[in-house]
Amino acid sequence: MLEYAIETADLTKSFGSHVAVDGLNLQVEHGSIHSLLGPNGAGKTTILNMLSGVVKPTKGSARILGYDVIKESEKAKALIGYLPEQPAIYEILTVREFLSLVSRAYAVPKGTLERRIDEYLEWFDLKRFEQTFCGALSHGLKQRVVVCSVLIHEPRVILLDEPFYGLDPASGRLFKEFLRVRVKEGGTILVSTHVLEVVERFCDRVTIINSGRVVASGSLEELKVKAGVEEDKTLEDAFLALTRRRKESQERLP
Amino acid sequence: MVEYELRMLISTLRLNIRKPTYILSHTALILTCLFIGYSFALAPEYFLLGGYPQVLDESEAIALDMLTMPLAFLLLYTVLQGLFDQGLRSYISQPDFSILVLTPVNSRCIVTAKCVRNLASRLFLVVLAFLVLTPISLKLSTPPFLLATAILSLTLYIEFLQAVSFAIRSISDAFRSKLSPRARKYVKIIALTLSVIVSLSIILSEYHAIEFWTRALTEGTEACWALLPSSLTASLVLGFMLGKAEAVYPSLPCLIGFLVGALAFMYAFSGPYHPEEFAPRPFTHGLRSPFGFRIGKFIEKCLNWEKHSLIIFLKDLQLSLRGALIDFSLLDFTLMYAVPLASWYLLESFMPVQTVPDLEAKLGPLRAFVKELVLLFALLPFIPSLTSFSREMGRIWLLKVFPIQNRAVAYGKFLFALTISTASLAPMVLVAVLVFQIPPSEWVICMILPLILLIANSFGVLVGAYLPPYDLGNHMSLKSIITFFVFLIIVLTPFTYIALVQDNVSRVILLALLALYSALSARFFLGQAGKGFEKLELREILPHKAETGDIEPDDELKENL
Repeated sequence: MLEYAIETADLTKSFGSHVAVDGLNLQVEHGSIHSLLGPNGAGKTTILNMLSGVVKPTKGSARILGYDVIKESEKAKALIGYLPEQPAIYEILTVREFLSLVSRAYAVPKGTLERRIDEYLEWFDLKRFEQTFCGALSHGLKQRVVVCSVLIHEPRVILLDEPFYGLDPASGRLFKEFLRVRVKEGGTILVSTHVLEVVERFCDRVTIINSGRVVASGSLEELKVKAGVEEDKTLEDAFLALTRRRKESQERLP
Repeated sequence: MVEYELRMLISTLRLNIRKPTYILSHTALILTCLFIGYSFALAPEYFLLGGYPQVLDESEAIALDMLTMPLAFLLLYTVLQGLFDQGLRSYISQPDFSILVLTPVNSRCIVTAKCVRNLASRLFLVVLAFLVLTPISLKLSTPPFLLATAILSLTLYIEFLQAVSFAIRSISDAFRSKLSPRARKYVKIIALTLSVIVSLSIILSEYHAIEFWTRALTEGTEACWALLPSSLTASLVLGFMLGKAEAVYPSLPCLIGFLVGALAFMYAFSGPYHPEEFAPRPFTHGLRSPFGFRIGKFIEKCLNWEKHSLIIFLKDLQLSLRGALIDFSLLDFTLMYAVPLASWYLLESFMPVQTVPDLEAKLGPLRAFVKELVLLFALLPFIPSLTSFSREMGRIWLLKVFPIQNRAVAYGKFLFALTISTASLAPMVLVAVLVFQIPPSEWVICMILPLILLIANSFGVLVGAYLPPYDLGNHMSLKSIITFFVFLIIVLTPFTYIALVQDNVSRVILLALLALYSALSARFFLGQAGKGFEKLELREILPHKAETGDIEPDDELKENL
């Protein structure tokens, strides 16, 4: 069995002269919830976009469960469920149709497709909206539909960008429970969020990114040690200490 | 507000002139206009009427008709665009409008300022008109006064077209906003019925001599025709070419009057708008299960969804069908074909084409082709393949994350574009064959249309994948100009040969060769389109960077700032 579910080597993405992700080497273990933390513009979304196939890397490589995201993109994508930060969906498809479209694209077996859609609609309390156009739903309900679409093909690797934004507390908790169950079943989750509280309660390991580079990586305790903050301090203290230190060292560069 | 908008226009211009693509496209346009002008002036034998300019004196009426025709088409096109462009919304929905409308500035002022900016931005066309007309003026030795009048008349006409387009949009928006969903439904049904009646009556009148149109088109109609802005402009341009100053005095003030009238209408109906008017319309409860839903379900059951390209194709088809049934698209679509068909028929019946001596005889076997070509050109701006990927907007991420081959996505988009363009062109061609009474011997030429559609749509998908966002409305962009010229070279040029061949055997052989050419080209284009889609990034397809969620610094913008 592979050691890591997600593995990147020298992964780089440039937009013109701006380097958004600079030689990223990231390893995410199987069956873990790994968080990407970083200030605005650190390159977190670009990393997730590259892993999911939305954006093509400028340099380097990335593997999802052993499949190269560029050379074997279809195989890699089939194993991924990706939730972007602001997902746009087809407004004039009904909720059921949208889930059906996603399921078929991910080749969910025909026999189980309808049953699975029904199950997810029930779980996320969307059954009464199944014939409603996605465009007629509120922001929170739309987010629930997208969450369903991410999970419906039962991906083994889930990439989440600010996943709890727009969800009400009940839906947020339900989603977290779902994710935990998926991890127990062997799934892997890479989540990008600004909410440090979520990271502390929800994630096993954290990678701090700044200016497209890894600043530090490890468990919460390991990060606190690396940051040089006391054990009773919060992740916020460790995060600020690490990103500040990085900024200072950058400023010292000629 | 006007000052602010004009400043914005100047800033945009300053930014644009630093872009090589902008310089290149405008230089190409200027050179083309100069070429046209010098061709007319120095090589008159290539002009349709031999013996130019003497023949103009001999048959002034014909020349006037020949000039009026394209200008009238331009007017018709503008009116249609104004009517069918979902009202003022599409024009005013600019990034800053939602901010501006919340300021204490009167909404009507904002609308007016936007329109003034748009009118000013079109002044480049005056330069183009100058470049075309000056060589002709030098050749004909016309007085500078008449040259100035001709340029002014063309400018006024273009400005009038702009203003009338906005006026129609304002009026139709004001009208539509008052309609209840039920009333909208009835309007759609009535308009569709009328379109069918018009099309049928055209066909019937051709075969059963109902003479409906002959009775309707009395002398009064012809007088109105002469007073249209297009006819006035044509008479002014002709006056310039013939060196006759007498046409200036009645026509020029009338043209100014039309422009002022259009501006007044635009102002009157622009009214106080609320940001809500320009936000995407929320779907109401009543639209939960429209007819399109049932069509979608039917398609879903009937066709195989397993194949990847079919998934993309059916998704696009379902969305288009449903979108058309929810808003006015289907109605627009139907009218867009019914009205030009009626106009084309009228043109055949009593307008300029008939008055050109022996035009039909001269065209010979080209007749069917020329007519089809006109239809095809009418369709060109609406080729759906060009916006295959741009239409996805922010939803492109979904296609990107699906475990589907990029080539399959391109094929799916192509299938959809082919279906839509075939479905929209086929009835038009069939009606045209009946109305224009094209003999069966010329039908073989009609076979080239499917081939043109095949190659045109695959090329469109390729362009759409490499040059997003593709804006069909922006005809002046480098993308549009390049697409058009490349399309002419690779798509239309090979097909013109078939029209020149006389015997049917050679035609069939050529058709087979063209079919092979089309199939190979389509395959190549779609393969490349798949690669283009692979490289396509979310930030490229969105018109506004802020929508990407992950705002990356735009280097060009940084440089400019």
